[in-house]
Amino acid sequence: MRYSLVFHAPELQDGGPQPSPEVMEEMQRLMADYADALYSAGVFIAAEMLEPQQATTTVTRRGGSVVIEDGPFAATKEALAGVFVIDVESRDAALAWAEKFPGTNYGVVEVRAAAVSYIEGRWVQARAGQ
Amino acid sequence: MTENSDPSETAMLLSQDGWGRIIALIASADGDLAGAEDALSSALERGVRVWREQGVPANPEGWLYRVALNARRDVWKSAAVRTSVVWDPAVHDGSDDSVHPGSSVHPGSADPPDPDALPDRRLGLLGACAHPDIDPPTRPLLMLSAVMGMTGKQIAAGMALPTATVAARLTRAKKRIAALGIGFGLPDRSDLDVRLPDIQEAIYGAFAIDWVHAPAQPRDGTIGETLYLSRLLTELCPRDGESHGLAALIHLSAARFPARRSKDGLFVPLDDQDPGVWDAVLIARGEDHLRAVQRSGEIGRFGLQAAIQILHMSGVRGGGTDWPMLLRLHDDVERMAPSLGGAVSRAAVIAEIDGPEAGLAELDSLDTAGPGTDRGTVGGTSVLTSAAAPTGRAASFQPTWALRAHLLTRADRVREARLAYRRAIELTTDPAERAYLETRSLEARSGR
Repeated sequence: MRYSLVFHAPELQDGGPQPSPEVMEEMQRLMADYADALYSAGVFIAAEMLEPQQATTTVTRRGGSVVIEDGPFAATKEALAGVFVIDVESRDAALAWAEKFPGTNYGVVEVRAAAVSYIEGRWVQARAGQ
Repeated sequence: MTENSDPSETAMLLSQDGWGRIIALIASADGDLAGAEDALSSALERGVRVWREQGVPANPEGWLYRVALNARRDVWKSAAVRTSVVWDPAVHDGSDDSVHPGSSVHPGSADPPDPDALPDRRLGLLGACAHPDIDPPTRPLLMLSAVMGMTGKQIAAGMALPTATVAARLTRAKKRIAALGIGFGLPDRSDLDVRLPDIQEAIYGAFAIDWVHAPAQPRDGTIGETLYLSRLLTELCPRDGESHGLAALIHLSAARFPARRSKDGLFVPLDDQDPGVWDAVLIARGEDHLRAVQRSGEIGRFGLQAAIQILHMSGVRGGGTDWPMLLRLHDDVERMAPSLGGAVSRAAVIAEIDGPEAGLAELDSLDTAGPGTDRGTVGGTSVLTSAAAPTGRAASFQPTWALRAHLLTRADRVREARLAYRRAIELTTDPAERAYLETRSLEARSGR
C-alpha cells in the first residue's frame, strides 16, 4: 500500500532570517538518516524535497488553451516542501514513519494513501479497505 | 553558556553543581533566565581570561557568582533609570544578602565566600522549569539548559532534535517565564506536593522519549545529565519517596545501556542481556534509592517501575524471577498511572504465570475493557481489516504486536504468529529492533 508523506513547512523569506549553514547541515543529516532508515526497512519508494514555491511554474488548460505562468498556484506562508512516497502494509505503519520525520519539528506532514499509482509502466489501483 | 567558550576549560572552573546554583540565585531576583545565563557565560569567559594570568581563585564559583551578579545589577540599575521602575533593593538586591551582606565586593578581591554558603535555590529553579505554563515537551529542555548549563546545540544533539527547534523552544519558554513573572522562590510544602510530580515528569522526559507507535526509548545523549538531575532532586527533597523512585528507575535503566546492543549493533532484549555488561555502580546507586523509597513509606509509579526493573534484572542474573510479585507491582502501576505500555508488560507477566494463552487473552482485552483505551487519540481512527485483530490504539501499538507474536509462537500457533510478527515489523521504525524481530519471525516460521 503506497502512502505519501506530504510535507508542508513555512518558507524562508528573502531578507528574513536564514538558517545558519550548521543548522542546514544538521537537518540534511537528519533527513539522510531518515531516508536511510526507510530504505533499510524496505519501504522506500521516492523522496523529493522541493525548491521554494517562487521557483514554481504552473501549467493549466482549464480555460481551454494552455496557460503557463511563473509562480505557484496559491502563494501561502506554509508551502508544499517535499514528498516522501513509501510502501507499507497499513496506515498505522505510515503514521509510525511520519512520526519520525525530522521536519515535523517545524512543519506538518500529511499522510495520504495513494488511490492509484503508476508502477512499472501501468496504473495500479490501490487495494481497498486499508 | 556561549557556544564559543571551550567546554573543557569551563568545566574545569565550574562543577556540575555550580551552573545551576548560580543561575538559580541570580534568576530568582527577576525571573530572567536568559539574562542570568548571559551574565554567567560572560563571567566564565572573563574567568578563563583572568585566571590564566592570575591563577584560579580558591573559590571560583563564588567569584563567578559575584561577577555575574554585578553584571545583572548594572542591567537592573540602568533599566530602573531608563524606565519608571523604581530600583528596589529589596527585590533586585535581596537574593544574595545572605552570601555577602551589604558589601559590593570587587571580583577577585580576597575572602570570597565558601561555595557551600551559596544558598541552594535549585528546587525553585526546577519548579520554574516544570511550571504549568511551560509546554510539557519544553520543560526537560529548559532544565538541561538552566540547571545543567548545556548549550542549545548540546541539548539538540543529546535529544536528537534539530538545533534550531531547541533554540526556538528555549527562547520562547524563557521569555514566557520572564513575562509571567514565574517565581523562583522556594515552594512551600503544599506547593511542593503539587509541583514535584511535574518536576519528576520533566526529568523523566529528559531521559526517555515516548513515541506513539513504539515503546519509550531512552536517549543516550543526555543520560549523564538526567542521572545527575534525578540525584539532585533526591538531595533537595531527601524524604520524598517518589523522587527516590525516579532516581532508582533512571539509574537501573541506564545501568543496562551498555547491554542493549550486541557487538554487531543488534538489538538485545532484556532477557538475553549479559548482566556482566551492566554498570554495577549505577545498579548499586539505583538500589540505594529503592531502599530510600522503602524507608519513606510511600511509593509512586516511578518507584513501582523501578521495583519492577530490579525484579526483572535479578531474574536475568539467575536469581529467579518472582512473577507473582511482579504482577502485584504491575497491578499497582496500572491503578496509579495506567498506560498502554504498562498494560502490555502486565500481559507478558500474566503469560509467565498462567501460560501464553492467558497472556494473549489479556492482550485481546486491552482495547475493549482494559486500561489504555481512553488515553488520548492517536492518529484519528485506525481501523484494521484483519478479523481476529483488536481495533483501536493497542492495534497500532508496536509492543502489543511484538508480545502477541512471541506468545503465539510459544502457543504453537505458527500461522498467526507469522502474521503478528509481520505486523510488529511493519510498525517498527528502529532498524536494530526491526532486524531482531525479523530474526525471531524466521525462527518462528521454521518452528525452531
